[in-house]
Amino acid sequence: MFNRKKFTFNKQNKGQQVDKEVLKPLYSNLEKNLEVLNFLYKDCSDVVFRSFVIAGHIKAQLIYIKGMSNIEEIDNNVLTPLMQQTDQNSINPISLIEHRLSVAEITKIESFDTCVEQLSVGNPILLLEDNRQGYALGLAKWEKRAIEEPSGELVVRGPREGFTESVEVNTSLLRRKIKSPQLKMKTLKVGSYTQTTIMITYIQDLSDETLIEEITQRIKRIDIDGILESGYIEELIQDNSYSPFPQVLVTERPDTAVSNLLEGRVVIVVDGTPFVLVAPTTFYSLFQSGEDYYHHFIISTATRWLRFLFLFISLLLPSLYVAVITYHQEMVPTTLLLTMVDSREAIPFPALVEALLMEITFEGLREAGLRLPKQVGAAVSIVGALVIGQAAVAAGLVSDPMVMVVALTGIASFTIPRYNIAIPFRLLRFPIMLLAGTFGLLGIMMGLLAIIIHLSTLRSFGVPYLSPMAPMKRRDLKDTLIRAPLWKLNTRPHLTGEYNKYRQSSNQKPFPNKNEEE
Amino acid sequence: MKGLKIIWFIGIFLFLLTGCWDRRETNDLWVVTGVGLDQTENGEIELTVEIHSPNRDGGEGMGGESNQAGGNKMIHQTGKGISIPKAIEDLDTQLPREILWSHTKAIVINKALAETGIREELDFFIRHPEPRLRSYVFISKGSAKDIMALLPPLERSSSEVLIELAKSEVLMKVTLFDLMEMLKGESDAAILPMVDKLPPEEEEQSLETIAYINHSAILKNGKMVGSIDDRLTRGVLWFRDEIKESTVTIQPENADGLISMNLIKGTTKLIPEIDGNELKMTIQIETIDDVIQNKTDWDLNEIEIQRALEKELAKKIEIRLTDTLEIVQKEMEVDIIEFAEEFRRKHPEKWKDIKKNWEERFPSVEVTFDIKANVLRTGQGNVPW
Amino acid sequence: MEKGKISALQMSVMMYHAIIATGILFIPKTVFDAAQQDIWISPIWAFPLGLLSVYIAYKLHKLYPDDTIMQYSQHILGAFFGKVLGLILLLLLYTSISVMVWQYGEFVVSEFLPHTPKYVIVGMMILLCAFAVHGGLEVIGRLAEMVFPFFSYFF
Repeated sequence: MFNRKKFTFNKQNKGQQVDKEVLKPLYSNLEKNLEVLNFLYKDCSDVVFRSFVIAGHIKAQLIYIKGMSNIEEIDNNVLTPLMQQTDQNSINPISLIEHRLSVAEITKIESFDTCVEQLSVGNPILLLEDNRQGYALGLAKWEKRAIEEPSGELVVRGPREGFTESVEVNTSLLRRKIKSPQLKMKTLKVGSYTQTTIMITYIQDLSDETLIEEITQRIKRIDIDGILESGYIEELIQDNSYSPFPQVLVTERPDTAVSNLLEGRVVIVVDGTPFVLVAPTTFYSLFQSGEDYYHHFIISTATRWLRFLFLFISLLLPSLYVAVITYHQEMVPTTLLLTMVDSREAIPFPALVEALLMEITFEGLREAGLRLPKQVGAAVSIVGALVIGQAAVAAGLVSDPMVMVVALTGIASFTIPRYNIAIPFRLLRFPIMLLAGTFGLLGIMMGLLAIIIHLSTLRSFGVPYLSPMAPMKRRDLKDTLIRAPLWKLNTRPHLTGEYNKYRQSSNQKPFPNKNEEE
Repeated sequence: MKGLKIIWFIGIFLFLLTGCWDRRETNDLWVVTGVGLDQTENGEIELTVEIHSPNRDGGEGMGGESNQAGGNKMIHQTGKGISIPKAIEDLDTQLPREILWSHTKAIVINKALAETGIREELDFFIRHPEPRLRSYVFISKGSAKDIMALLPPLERSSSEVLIELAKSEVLMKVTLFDLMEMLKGESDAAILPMVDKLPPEEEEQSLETIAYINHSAILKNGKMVGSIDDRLTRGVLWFRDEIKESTVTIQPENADGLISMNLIKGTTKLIPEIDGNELKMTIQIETIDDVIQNKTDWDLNEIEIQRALEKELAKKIEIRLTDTLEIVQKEMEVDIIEFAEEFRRKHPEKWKDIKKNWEERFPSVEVTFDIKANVLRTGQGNVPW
Repeated sequence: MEKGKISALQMSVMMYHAIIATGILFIPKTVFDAAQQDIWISPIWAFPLGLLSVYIAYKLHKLYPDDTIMQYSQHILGAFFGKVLGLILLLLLYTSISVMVWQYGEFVVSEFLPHTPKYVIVGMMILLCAFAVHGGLEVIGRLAEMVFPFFSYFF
């Protein structure tokens, strides 16, 4: 399963020699092995070489990286039993290791590249004299963040655990939810320097084989020096890279990932980031929150409608305001228009400029709020509220209704549960505002149509982005604009190709047992 | 991909090179809320617009200081010309800003102008894309300019007063669209609410008052021929099945004191009948009323007394309707009660003949009444005597 | 020729949009002039006629399932007359598109933006159409399905 992609060190810097060394198998001579390793880890002060003697005459070498291995356990379970060995007669190094080391996971190593690989994962390596094999001891332990509630995807009801930066923890979170051995995980290593572990996770028989193959191929095609976050993978494997819309779902929540696995999607876990990727994804699934399935279906449906309403507000409200106030004054009720006229009377800018000014200010404040240290955050929010509120009106730069429009737009864009789908709409607000300022409502319609056309052209790993609305799949509509009751969600959404259609038995609507009552 | 790039370039240039042809900032607009039409001595049209004047301090600010008296926010301007567009042109020369017509909700026409005919003048409001067909039309007894110039103490503007009055539907409510329908209809008669200045309280300035509707103007062939008072207007409303608000006070025959009733629901059906050469019309009315005041010693809880009361009510309505007919049908001979439409609908073939001399035949239509009055509720309690 | 595949539903929705959008601008006036207040009967009379043309198109498709109208008209009428018919069809397409675009521009200019030059409005529309056509037949089909709920709500 391992992707045996070799280390490709920088070619200009004695790379050839290193490459050659790394590919060689281990020597039986300990000195020679050490020479190679010393060469490889030259100037790496975090690599510890500890030489010792077993039973008084077998030379041995323990190599590990500081801070990545459990030193206590090395002391207690490796060094102590080996060094205190006194029985000089029955010394067979292999039986020694098998009988004396109380370490759960011991891997045999035969070449230098596995040696390097194991070391960089944190496993200490034991080399013995006159032995062509080395032993990687599964004693890796490094500091990692505890499992916490994901701060980007808060829920009222639902599990509080979130993915962490460690790929092992993340896959264990998935495995803990799906006990079936059908849950498969393929490991790939990407990044010539970082050698980042990437797990392609799916449930066999639920996911389309060709889909898994396609995803694997796309990831294998990546040739990059480093993968620092799943965003790298996302950008390198998506179908249309010019589109601002995300074609991969990003989540921090194991329950969301698992529910997507059960729908036949593929989860890509990347080491070093709590954000896992889910592919393929559709436009509507980006507006779903895991919580939708934990609350009553009527409430979830209402919440979804609310989200779509606020999506339109966040995209269109400033544009509608600009269009109506500069082109279609007859559309406003008279009393409201007169009030608007009053408040706009002393404003020196056209409504379009006013709207752009305020929206850009708001976006700037939002961005500043994200990056600011917590200590100054409060001060900025006060100043910000003043800037886009009272002070701006009092200074005669913007009108009262505009402040309201901006505030509502700002709130609206935060009702969308996923940050990555909220951003493109926030961005597209500006071109539509310009269109509204030049053509009024006609311009807004044009912009809206252009967006819908663009969305119709998108595909995510072969799945049309707007499905199941366009192309219409009536059976899958039960979980898009509405959330049907769980006992109605009998079939999985259709993605591509062949798939396992039924997810539960039908007729599961609960009913009281009448015979018992009688 | 090259084609796409070219398209993008065209698109961007098309976008960048555009001006803002139809853009109108509200700072450059004057919102007209009401229009008054008068006739000058030499036959010209005098057009008065009531314009909302934005207050200069840019909104209320934060303190929430209240507006000054509503009337101070309106400006009035007058233009003259041989037609409405000419008058507007004259007006444009006086106004530094563009006029926005789409919020004109009240059109007041002077009586003298109405008598020479309004059909041609209203054409402007119908043809121009901005004014709404939902605006209300009024006839003013005095000059329309004076009505527009009033500074109502409560409402924002004089036209708003008129709109609210019309909406209350106590008397006639006619929108431009209704008027169009009336003038296009078979009978070619129209009825419009008539407004007058309410005499101001003594200590107040002469302008600080409101206009009110107390009469209805009757138009024939687009020309005003007369007016009827509020009582007869309600009679007309009964005929037109438009009655919404009405209080009937009756003096029962064998009781001293009055009983007042409030109309809850009233429906009218006109049933035309052609009997040989004679035209007949049955007015079928069904009404539900509630008692709101009882000054007699009648015990309204008794069924017989309720029946008697219902009979009295029906009689009272019939009297009002016959009075109305007397004026409208016999005296003015204007078919504002839409008999013509009913005949056309029921007897479309015969109507073609009748139509030719409808004007002569209308006064001779024989009208019978069939009024069913119901008093459903007699109130929550009696004052204990 | 681009090989897009659309479903029957997408096809019907596309037809619906095309007919309603072009019809609503000029049909009521012409029909009203002829039929006056009996205008409501006219769709009932038009219905069998429309059905007939759909039936013919359907039968032709059954006869030549893989061909376009250009191709099978050559099968039916022979090479020369088939090409002539094809040319006429293309001309019809060209003229009707010009008329539609002109109507659209005229409608927008007269009702909403009286001072905006018509070429800008028409140009915007054509650009948008080009954008959609660039995406291909499938994209237009999906677009039609996507806007159908809003469209049918307004008309």
